[in-house]
Amino acid sequence: MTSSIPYDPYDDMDNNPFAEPEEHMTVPETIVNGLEEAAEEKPADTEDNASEDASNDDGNKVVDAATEQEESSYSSIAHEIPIDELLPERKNNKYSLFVQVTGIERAGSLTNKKENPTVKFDCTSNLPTFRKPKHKKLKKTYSEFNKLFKYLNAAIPETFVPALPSPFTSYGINNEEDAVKTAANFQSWLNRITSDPLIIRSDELAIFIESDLNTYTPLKKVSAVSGLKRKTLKQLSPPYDETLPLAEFRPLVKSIYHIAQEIKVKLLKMSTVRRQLSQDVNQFGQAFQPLSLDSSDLYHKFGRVITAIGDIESIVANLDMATLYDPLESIERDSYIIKEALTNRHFVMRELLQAQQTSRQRQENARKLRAKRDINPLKVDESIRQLKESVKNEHELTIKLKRITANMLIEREKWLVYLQEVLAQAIKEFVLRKIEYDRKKLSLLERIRLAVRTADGKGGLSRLGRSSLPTVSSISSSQSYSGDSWTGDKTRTPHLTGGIVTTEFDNAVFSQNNSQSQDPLQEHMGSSPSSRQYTTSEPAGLSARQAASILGDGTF
Amino acid sequence: MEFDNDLGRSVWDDEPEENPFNELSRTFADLGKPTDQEHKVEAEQKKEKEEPVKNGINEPETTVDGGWRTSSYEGLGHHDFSGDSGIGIGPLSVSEPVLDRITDKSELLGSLAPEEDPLHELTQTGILQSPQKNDPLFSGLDKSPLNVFDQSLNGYSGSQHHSPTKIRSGKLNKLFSGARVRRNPVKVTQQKGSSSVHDPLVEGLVEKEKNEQFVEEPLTDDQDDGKLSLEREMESPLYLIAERKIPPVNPKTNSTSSTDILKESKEKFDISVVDPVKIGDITSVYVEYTVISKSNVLETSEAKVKRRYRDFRWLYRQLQHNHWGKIIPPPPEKQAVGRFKHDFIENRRAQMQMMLRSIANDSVLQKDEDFILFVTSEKWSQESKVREQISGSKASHDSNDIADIHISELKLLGSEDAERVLKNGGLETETGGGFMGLSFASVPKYKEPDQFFLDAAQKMEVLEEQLKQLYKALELVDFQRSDLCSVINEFSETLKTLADLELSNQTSELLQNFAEVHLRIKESTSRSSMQDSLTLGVTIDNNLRIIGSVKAILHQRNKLGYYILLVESDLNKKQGQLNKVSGNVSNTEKANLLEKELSILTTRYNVIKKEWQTIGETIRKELNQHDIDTIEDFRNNMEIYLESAIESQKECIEIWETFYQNNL
Repeated sequence: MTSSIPYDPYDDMDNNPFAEPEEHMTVPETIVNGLEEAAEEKPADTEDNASEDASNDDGNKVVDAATEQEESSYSSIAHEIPIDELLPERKNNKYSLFVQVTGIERAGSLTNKKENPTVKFDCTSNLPTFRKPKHKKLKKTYSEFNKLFKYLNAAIPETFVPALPSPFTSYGINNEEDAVKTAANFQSWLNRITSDPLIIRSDELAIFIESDLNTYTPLKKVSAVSGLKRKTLKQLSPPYDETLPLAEFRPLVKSIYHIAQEIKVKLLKMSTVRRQLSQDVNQFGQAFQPLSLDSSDLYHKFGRVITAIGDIESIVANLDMATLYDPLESIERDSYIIKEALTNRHFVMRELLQAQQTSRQRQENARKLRAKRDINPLKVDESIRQLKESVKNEHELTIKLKRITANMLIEREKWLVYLQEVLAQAIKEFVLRKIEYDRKKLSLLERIRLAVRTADGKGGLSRLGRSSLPTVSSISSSQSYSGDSWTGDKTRTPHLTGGIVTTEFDNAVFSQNNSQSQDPLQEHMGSSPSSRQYTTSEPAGLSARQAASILGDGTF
Repeated sequence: MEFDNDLGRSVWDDEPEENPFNELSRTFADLGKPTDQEHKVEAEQKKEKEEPVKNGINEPETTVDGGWRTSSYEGLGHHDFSGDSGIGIGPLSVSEPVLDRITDKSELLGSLAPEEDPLHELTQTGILQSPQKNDPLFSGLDKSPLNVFDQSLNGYSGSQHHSPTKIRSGKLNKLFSGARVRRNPVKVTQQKGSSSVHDPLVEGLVEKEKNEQFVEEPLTDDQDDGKLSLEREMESPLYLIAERKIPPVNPKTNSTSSTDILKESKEKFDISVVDPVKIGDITSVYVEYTVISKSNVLETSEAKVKRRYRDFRWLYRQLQHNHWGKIIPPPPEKQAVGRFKHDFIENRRAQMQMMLRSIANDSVLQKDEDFILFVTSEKWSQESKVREQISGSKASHDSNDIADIHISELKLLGSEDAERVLKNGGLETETGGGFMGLSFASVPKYKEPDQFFLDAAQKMEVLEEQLKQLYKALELVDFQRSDLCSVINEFSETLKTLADLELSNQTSELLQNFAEVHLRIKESTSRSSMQDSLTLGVTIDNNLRIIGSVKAILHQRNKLGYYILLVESDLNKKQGQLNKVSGNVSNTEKANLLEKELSILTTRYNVIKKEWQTIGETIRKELNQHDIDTIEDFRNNMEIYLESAIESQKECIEIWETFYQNNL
């Protein structure tokens, strides 16, 4: 045995009889379970310790083998672990949780109303963590949701926990739309929560649901890297990430976050300006009302319509916020959380790197021990123990990272799809609302048109060279269910909401006229003395196109 | 009908033989205080005197067709007829066939005359029309007769009394309510003026001054002549056109009298202000605009001159001075800051062009000498000053406010009296015997007696306030809109950056289109915003400034009314003194002196009073017309505003619908 010593260095590298085969065999084992692997190594250790005669060679060889095995396994691990084993929760969908939001309650002080609404919901589940499968009429306040969210976000680093929806919407808290929208937002949040198998297995979720109103606090404490340490760590350049999609995902999410923020700012500005514009238009309309150029009522009515247009403008400003700003805000929050989750993953990677370094150092120590002539068996023991410990730690971290990586890859896809859906949905709603209110404006404007034209005998626009007077009937609304008069595209169904374009301002604008003059129809006719009945003289048969061509605006 | 006037003028210039008129006026003066009937008689007399002349003249005209002399005679003839409207069927019958035969012009006259006939028959035109002599346009044209008038005026000015003016005022009302065109009769009116006692006084002096001025500036005379000849030679079709504009002629009354109410033919006048250029060094920069005008009114039929903003203000003041009681199209407001931003200059250019165009479209103003001078003069800086000095308009001492006015004593009182007044520091200080007197004598505040003007003034105030509000609101809207546009632009840019992240093809395409749509909405918004400010904005702005102009003419009347009070109190004082003195034989010298002063004051009083009434009538008419025009214009613009709003609304809907259809 002593003879083998001089050869040792070469032996070590070149022809270790155990190394190759052992490596091949152990790789799968280590992957399957960290504990198993540790158990497997124990016999080797005991063997080492048992044979007092065992040469340093042998011990060294074993250690070497273990190290090499560890190294090679590390490099190959990412590609070879089946996802089912990494994420057993995703293997089957035997557990499910259904939550149905039934309403929003706002109570208490003004800020409480706004910031801390109570969500009412029912829930059904077959999770073992729940005490009973069905819960009805549950109530949870927003702050409880927030606590749960914080806990989940810290406790489950593998997944992107969806950001909580905002407790209120841009509609303003005191109206129906807001209640509906907020409830819908919570529903969709809960849906996203419950569709994540990792989250529903958390017992905190069961505790949250089964606790009474306003009593929930997370039982377990989780500590994520936070505070100054987090900040410092974030300054470092991210560790090398071999999972390309995730490596690219963080900068993407980060820029989504920033751009969403920027768009929000711009949108807010736009909405503000629009609101001011609406006020100015309003004032413009009001300035029109007392105009006393002549005695006719025309200016009054005209001013009224303009005022109403201003009001619509301010509604549009609000809707801009509600339909686009709110979704953007949720996107922004989401992306922030995802970004932080990815940062946490970076921390794990860094931890792993550190663990690898420690184990490498300890291996080095072991190697040095082996090189020494007189070996203190205590020291050998100690070093072997440390080595094992660090290898185990490293292994655990590796598994953890793999798990996180695998889950995040799945979540990433899901989130991207979700993002697109949200964006498209928001834009769609935005556009629909725009169309709706633009149509309302148009219909308001077209209604005053007649009064303006009949204000004098020339039928208005005299200086535009129109030769013939437009008949009353030709000035009908240009919008109808059958299509818009200005377009030839009949395949499109116009988005008309409500009746053919009635607006919430109709009463305000036109009803007061009635009170001013006894006969609104007469009013409508303006100065034309023939007093044809407005309603009856409008032949339904006149096609919109024909009307358009009469008006000379048929160029569309 | 300007034609006629020109002819008349030139004739007078050429031929002093017309003095018979002057003599005639003298005879009138001798007659002393003419009552209505006296006027009639005078007219008759005059007619009889002139009849032979006219008849003689008509014949030659037919043959010559275009000789200046004949035309002038014709003008005279018309004048005659107007004078004898009440009387003469005989002369009418004679003149009519002749007229029919001859030139287009004569046809026109014939047709015009009958139209006005009824009026004349109702009211004695000769007297009624006298106020119209104030038109400086025409008055400036006659030279020799005026000089003569002056002398005669001095002679008889003292003898004038209040009674005639009173009569006149009563009639004036009638006349104005009935007849609408006051302008053509230029020459004729003047001549009539000579026949009726009062007119020559006022007019004559002013005119005389103008004539003097002309002597200094031969250019204008030349222009007029040239214009005349041009028109004569080539413009018969023009007159035909003018004829068409004339309302249907009443065939039964063929008398050529009452030419004064003939509708003045409006010449076509193309004018544009273009090409603003910054001129001068850092310390004194100003912008010069090129004024290009094309019209037959002009001597050369086309002119191109360079003017700066100040000159437009001058023109406004000058026209205001020349035409009391007439609403003059106002120039843009002064603005000291930010004068050289392009937007501002362009705006101002447009406004000045609008001003010139409205002047050029007004049948009276377009022939105003000062306007012609403005669009043609090459030696502008001297000539404008000369004009200003002569007319006493103080046009270049221009206050900011369009509504401020300056009443020229020269024009009001005639040169002689004005000299007297000005020596003592103007009407306001002179009366009451210097400022000491002023301070002690309680000068009654002028109170407008006519409810119409009070109402008008109030209405203007209210309207101005409302329009100002409206304008401010519109400005704000415009401002916010442009703000909105820029924000939309930014918004769209950020959307594009989100699209550039390439989340997925579909999403980035959606976002890209969404951004595009916003850009298009922005364009549409800024377009409609621009359109609004171009239609409604410009209209309101213009109306506001016109209101300033309207207020100016109301001020003119107020000022004159104030003068009346001043002179009246003075007059009463003098009368009192005279009464005191006249009892005393030893004071005959003093009494004479006082009497003389008294007579001067009386004349002055009458003159001012007449002017005051005249201006009242003019204002009345102007305001009525103004109301109609304004309302129509405003409504038009309202409708354009509405239509453009509707169209842009449709455009927006279309944009969104299309986007929806293609992307969602």
